[in-house]
Amino acid sequence: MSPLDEMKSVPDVSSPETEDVLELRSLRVSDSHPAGARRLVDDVSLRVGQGEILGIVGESGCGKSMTAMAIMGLLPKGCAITSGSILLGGRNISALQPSEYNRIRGKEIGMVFQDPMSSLDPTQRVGLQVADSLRVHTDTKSRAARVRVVETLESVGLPEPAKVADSYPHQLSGGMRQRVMVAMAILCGPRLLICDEPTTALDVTVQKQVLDLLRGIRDSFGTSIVLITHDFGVMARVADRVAVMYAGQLVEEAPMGDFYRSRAHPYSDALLRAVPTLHGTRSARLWAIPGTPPTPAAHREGCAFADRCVNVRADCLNAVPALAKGPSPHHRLRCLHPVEPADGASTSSAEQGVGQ
Amino acid sequence: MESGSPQDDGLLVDPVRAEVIHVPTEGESGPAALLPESVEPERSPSPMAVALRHPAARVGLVVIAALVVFSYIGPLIWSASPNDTDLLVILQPPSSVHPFGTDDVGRDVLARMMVGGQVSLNIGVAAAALGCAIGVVYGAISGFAGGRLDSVMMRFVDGMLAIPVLVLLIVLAAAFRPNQLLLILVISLTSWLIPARLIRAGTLSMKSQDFIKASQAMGSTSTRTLRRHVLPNSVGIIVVNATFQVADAILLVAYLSFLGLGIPPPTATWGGIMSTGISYINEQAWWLIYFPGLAILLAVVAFNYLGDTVRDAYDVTAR
Repeated sequence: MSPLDEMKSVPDVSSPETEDVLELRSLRVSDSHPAGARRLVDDVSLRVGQGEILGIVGESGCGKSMTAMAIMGLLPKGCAITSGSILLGGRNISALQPSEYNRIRGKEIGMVFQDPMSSLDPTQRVGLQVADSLRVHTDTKSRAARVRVVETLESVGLPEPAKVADSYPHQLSGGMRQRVMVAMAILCGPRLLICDEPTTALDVTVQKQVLDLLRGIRDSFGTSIVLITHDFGVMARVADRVAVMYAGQLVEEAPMGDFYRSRAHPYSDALLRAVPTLHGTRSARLWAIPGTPPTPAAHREGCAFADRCVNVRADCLNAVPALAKGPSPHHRLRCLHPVEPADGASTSSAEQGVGQ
Repeated sequence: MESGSPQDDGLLVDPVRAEVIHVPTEGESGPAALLPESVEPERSPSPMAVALRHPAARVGLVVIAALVVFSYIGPLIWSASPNDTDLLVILQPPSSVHPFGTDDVGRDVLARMMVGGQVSLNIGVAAAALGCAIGVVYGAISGFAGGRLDSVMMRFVDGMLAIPVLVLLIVLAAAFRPNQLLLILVISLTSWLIPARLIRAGTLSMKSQDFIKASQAMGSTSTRTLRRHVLPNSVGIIVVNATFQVADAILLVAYLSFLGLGIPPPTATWGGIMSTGISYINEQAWWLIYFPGLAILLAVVAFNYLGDTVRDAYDVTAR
């Protein structure tokens, strides 16, 4: 399985353990709305370390996918990065020419899409499609590419990889297709994998398999992963660190454990409370956050979450809170009046100790 | 392929259609059509193979094959010259010497029908191929580029579509002496508009598909994405439209010849033979109208059948 060893070695050699694979610096993405450019991604700063899985959560329309598309350089027409920068392995890629970007996409950044049913071209055999990124980025001959494709298909856990390579997409199940998509994304050994809701279109048992696969890829190849989801179950299974986005802003960011123990932003807390549990009483109604996320705006007067927040005070409406240090180390928070940890104030200090 | 297993023929058959078109296996296809659709086979056959399972496609294909053999191989067997006149045998009804009869100057209609078939098929196929090629490239670029370029390119198409093809051809035929090449060029230069629109629409809807995004996320250039994903996914549209275009072109050539504006005599054309027949309708020269008329009808219907079934076969969602 030589290509896999090769892939494994690539990230280790090129980037030392300490370097961030991806860094977003005050990234701002705006559209060209007639009533003034609206900020779809507003001042987002994030780092993803080598071999780290960063989960980005938030409701629909809060800028998760826009952030992902900005990283891929595939923002829809009319949207553009208006300030800030994207660094991939220390290199600013946000100002690259389209042709230069093509050399990065698929090679250094792989992407897994939400719906495996529609992400594969129905007219082409799977093997050819997977091989495409090799063909685009390297001079691999078709026979060598085929060998590599079959090996990669095997490494993502597909049985009978040679047969899968000769199949058309409609002959594969949803889970198999998503594995194919993952194989396609990792074929060229990217340092960074962006997964935009990779399990949303799959049923629950297959979801688990795909998530385990993503973890496995991180473990064996040291690939950094940005996982975009609105499912906390998905998040809890794989992510090392959680970033919560709301209305285009990063509102809270913390390591996984800290987040579950001591999330402090009212929005994060409300999101977690909205996850149904198996242990609730039958008559209890499911908790939902009242209201809907705000529409994108040119600029905001106060906290974007203020009108849905349980902790809102007068000062929340005056200025956008800054992203400041949160209750535990490595914890960042954009809130003036954070909530106390759900299970009582007493645990807060104890958890901080664990966080160290 | 007919004789193998009659039940197979019926499996994908819409019973209504099977009756309408009088397939050779009609007797079997009735009950067979009521069978549930077959379970998806291990290896799914290509759309073309699916299309050919359809009786209408087979009928179309057989008729087209027969016309090709008639027009191109026929003259090798039937030695009568299409242009030799014989005033002693003018306007003779079909006989053993002249199976399709003779025309007003005693030319053998069978031989002329063969040459006419060559003209029709040459022009039809060549004009359709050229027209589709232009249309596909134009439409794909327009749809994929989008924005202002798309608007400009499509407004040009709209403008061109406003010119009636027949009028254009009549004007050109009056100005130039038409020959096959000129007709091919003119027909294809007017017929590319429809495929251009279809392909543009297909490209537009395809552009928002995830596999196009996935292809871009993989680092493909626009050209590569167009070539690898957009065009193969448009093959259905292209093939279907091409077959319809052939039928249209054959019909157009027939109109022109009938009006005396097509390929000038003495070259035989189906429309030309019919036109002669109209002049001698009082002499009851039915063979001058029926044979070319039937040939035009068969050719047009056959290409349309083929196009219809190929379209159904490429419609993956309907399968």
